[in-house]
Amino acid sequence: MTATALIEMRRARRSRRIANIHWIDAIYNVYLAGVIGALATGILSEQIGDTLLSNAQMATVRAHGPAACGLLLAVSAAIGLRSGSRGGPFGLEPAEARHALLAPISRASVLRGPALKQARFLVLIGGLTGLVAGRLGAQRLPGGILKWMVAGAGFGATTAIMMVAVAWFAGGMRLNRAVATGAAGVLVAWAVADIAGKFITAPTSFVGHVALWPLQWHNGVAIGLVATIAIGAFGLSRLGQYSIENLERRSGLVDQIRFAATMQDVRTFMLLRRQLSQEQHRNRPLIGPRRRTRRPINTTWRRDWNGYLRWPLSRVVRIMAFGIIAALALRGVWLGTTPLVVVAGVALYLAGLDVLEPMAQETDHPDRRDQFPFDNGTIYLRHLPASFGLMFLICAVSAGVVYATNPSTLTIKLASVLAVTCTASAVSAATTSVVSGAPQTSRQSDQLIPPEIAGMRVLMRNVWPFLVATSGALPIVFARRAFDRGDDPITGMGVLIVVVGFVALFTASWVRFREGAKAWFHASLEQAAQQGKKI
Amino acid sequence: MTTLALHVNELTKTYGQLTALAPLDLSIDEGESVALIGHNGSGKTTFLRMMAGLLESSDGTIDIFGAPAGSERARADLSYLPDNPILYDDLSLWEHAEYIAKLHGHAEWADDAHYLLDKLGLAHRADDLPMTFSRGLRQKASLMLGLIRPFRLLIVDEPFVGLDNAGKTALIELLHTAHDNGATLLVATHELEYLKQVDRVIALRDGQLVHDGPIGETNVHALVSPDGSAPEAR
Repeated sequence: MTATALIEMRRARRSRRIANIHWIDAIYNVYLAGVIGALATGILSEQIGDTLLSNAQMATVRAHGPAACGLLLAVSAAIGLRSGSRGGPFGLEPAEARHALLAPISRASVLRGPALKQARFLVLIGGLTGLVAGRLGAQRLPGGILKWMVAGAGFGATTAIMMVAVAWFAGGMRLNRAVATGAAGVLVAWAVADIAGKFITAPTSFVGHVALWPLQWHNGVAIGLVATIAIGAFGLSRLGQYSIENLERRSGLVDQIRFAATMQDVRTFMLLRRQLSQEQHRNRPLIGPRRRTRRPINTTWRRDWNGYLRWPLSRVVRIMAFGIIAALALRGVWLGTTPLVVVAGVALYLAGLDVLEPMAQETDHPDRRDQFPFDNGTIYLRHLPASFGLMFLICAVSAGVVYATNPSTLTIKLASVLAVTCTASAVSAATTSVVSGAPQTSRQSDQLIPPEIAGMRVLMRNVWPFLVATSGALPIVFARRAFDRGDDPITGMGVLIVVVGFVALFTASWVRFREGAKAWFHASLEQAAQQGKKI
Repeated sequence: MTTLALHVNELTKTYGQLTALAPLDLSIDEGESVALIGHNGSGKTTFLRMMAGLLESSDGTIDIFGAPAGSERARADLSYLPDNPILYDDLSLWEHAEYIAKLHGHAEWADDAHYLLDKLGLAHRADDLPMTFSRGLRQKASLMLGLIRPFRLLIVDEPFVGLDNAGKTALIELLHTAHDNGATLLVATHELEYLKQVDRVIALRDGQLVHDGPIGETNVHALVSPDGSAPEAR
């Protein structure tokens, strides 16, 4: 009776949801996604080219490809481990967590449906992404398009299965968060060591062969796949052991995160994501605060560093990871894979958003901010030096990592310049996002803006920070081209360095004078509207 | 021999270095009507949520009619009415009642639903989505859902907040009816009128039990004060 009620109600709600779907809208959305997907694939395809890899390059792919793919799997498993230890990957409806999980029915039966539904969705997304990657890879790899597409789809699906299987396992076994994070770190480090080493030893590297089966097969694949499925099946059988405390906490947050994502509210999204991963500031700072200083220190600078020194270790590790990803992506661009510049841009933007935390605190608490005897632009500007300082530190350490992998004078020169441009662009991009705040709807002045322009504004609002962040990474493309021509790569970056500097200055000016300019603009629009009414 | 509706043994809840609930020992007999009081942050909601199985203890145990809190048997016996109503967006109040009653194996739920709807003044909103309700109506809807299902122990967190006078009167009547039908009640509230009607009052201060017994002449204001002092009369 009780479990039947659950099944019947879920079925009824699904039918109702399907009945409420506007099919024309849905078909249009699918059409739009298809067009955008095809366009993106076409652009990427153009960038990748269609020349087959040389023998030397093929040897590198054969030697390090499985380990590189294994790293993706390891990252996926690491995400699963951490997520599972916090009640993930579930994002139950809050009412479902409250009513169904408190009913006298097996919790496994309540969770199994959502778990499998989520797994299906992730496998579909992973499979499709892999399919496209396989199609693109086939342009430069021997073996036929179909084989590579199947291999790509298989690898994508395996990556998704790996994540949910490990998450179910971690959640069902109630792995301690510290243990899960430690295990995740070991998995990723092992996979990284495989890329650097001559032999593969990590289990994820063996499974990584799935992506390359048109080139070479390894029996470890079958063992790895069976092990992954076994872990998933075991995890599925232990769904009833999940911590309801974690499930309920997640259910509330996931709902809000979805809303923030719908509203394109980056800051709220970040704050909720931190709550989801239970990321809390340290009670005591990493380094004790200096009570007495010989010379006066700027108050905002001191406040910002006091905040940074209370960051949890997980955030420090995350930001350093973003910095290192950006640096390695730039190294990849230097070696010839230009599209990696986008990866560097995204990583810099994400790192910048964390680094801008003190400024974001001001936008989070407008009532307190408005009590300071300065205009908001001045307050925001005062936060920039510390943010710039920290971001430069991150970029410098990341550059050091790249230097360690390829020590040369040229690396030092390029890294020194790029550390500055990347710092400037990351801080500028994040500042734009933080100061813009959450999108406001239904302002009176918006009614005067034509829909076409309003649409462009929304697009720019989302895309502009990424473009700014990427601008700091672009000098490496120019440097490579100059190097290929036999010119000095540093001189080749000149124009882009000026552009990045200009963008940084423009951003600082925008932050300082934005509110005044906005007030003037809206007043002008209102005035125009009033005059229009009189006419 | 009386049956224990609730038996709490050395129950502790900590969040990092913060102790939300100090080791707590407590028993409530079947059929008792008990009120839980304490200042904000004293640990009342934490305690109730642990009984409902929504929070896990850091140490110690809670048994609901002999079954560990959160187990299927305990969930069948205990109905928890939280202070924040959480309802489905796409189900009407009537559909909520049907779903929750059936989840708890209550096949003949419709008559009870009609009775509760009338009693709480929700009959005219039965087919509406609770997402369109005001805070007070959502609170009443949540009360109805907690009472529509069978239970032996009813735990309620701040049920009078957000209710109008008619709602409060109706709720007190419903609680009395449940008690008369044999249910054990544990209600976290500061509503003086209700405190006078219970068999026993339990008071928490900073996660520790500071009073357990009839309210009698005890100064309630002192019990719910964070430092134990009663405010001076003006």
